[in-house]
Amino acid sequence: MEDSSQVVFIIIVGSLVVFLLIMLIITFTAVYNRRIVKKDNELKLSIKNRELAVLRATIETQSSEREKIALNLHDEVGPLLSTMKLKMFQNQKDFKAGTMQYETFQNDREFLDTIIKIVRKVSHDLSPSFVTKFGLLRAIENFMNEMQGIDAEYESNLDEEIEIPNFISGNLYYIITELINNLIKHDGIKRLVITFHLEGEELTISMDHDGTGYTQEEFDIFEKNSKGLGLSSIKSRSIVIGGELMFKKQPDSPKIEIKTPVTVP
Amino acid sequence: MSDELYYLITDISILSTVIPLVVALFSYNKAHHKLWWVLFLMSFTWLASDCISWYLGQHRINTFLLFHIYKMVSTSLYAVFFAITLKDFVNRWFIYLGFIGYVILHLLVLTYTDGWYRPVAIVPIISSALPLTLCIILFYRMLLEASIEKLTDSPLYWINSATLIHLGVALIAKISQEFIYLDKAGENLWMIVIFSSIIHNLIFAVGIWKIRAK
Repeated sequence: MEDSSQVVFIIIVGSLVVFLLIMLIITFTAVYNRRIVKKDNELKLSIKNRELAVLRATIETQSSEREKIALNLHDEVGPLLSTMKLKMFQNQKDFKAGTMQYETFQNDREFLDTIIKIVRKVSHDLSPSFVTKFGLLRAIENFMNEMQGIDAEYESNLDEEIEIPNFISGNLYYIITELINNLIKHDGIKRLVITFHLEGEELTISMDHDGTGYTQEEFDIFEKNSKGLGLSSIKSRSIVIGGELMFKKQPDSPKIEIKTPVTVP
Repeated sequence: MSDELYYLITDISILSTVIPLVVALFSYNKAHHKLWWVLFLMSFTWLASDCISWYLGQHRINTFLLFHIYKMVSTSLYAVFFAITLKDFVNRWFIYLGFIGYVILHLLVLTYTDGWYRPVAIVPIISSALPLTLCIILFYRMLLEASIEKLTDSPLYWINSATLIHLGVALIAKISQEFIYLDKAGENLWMIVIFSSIIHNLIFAVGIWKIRAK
């Protein structure tokens, strides 16, 4: 090959190499951008699905609560009131016959107390007004005092003055009580320490207990396979308030942690 | 190709190494200080090497010893750059091991062939091939993770593109020069490498500019 034609050839080859490398970068950019668009679409879809799941869980929870209330009214309050009616009928007869005993009044009063308790429980299920009236801490304290056979205590650095919006405190109350009920029912706990720690705008609630505990993966599997609504309701409520649920299975102290902002998201 | 044009392009190439260094001085970002430092040192090495070799060339002093030292330092800086950018993707000790192996091989080749003051073909080939491989791995990682929303905002995209173009051209030119065009005409191919070096410096400067704190 002659010198000048060789130079032209070399320049062509060299330019081709540069062109190919630039094409490689352009191809990379195009593929990357397509991937980003795809990822973005997937993310949007997953957010939409998640929102739908939360909405579904919320609706299911509401209807389940209504069913529970209806069941309580029908199966517990209803028969008790009917019994009370019969008792009153009997009392009327006894009074007419002059055989009315003082103990009968005593028994009836106790019976009425039971009915009042149940009605209060139903009303409480319908709306945890205690939380609204006295705040989350008092409501949890009250709930813990009512627990039987559990050595429970709580610690808090929360200022009494702090006002947590009802939307958050109501949901937190439900989450905590539902978790406690699950721990008692399924993990057989005998000791429970609940710690409330507020740092800035973030509230951390730690629940240390003496049960076996669950890992995050175990909870996710239970929640997925569970036929009841308790677990999915816990999860959906925590999402709704912008919180995060963490399950830790440490050998000496298993715990559940709830982190949530104290302002409505 | 005329000598005037050759010298003009070479001078522009030397001058263009100032650009990344100047841009680096105005782009310091505390959040990316490791990356900034390695890019700054790379830019500094290129400029220093170009200036010294220009000075040596003016005084008709052999520049090959400087070239070998420059290759080892510059390739080691590439190792640090890729160890930072490929963190959690490729074990950094594999990267360092590869480059330590290269430096040892470089020294052994120079010692046993007595090549301190002359070009040794294998050296530029390996010193281009190693960072080039990691360059492709970095692009692969970026593609796999797809975590950067706007690619042109990423300094790594520009820096990697600059490295890919320059080292890709240098590698192919060196292979062609050593194994295909054994005569003087093959030297013309080196002009394209010098030209790609100018493009590299400009794109590299864009990459450094992108790491500045906004």
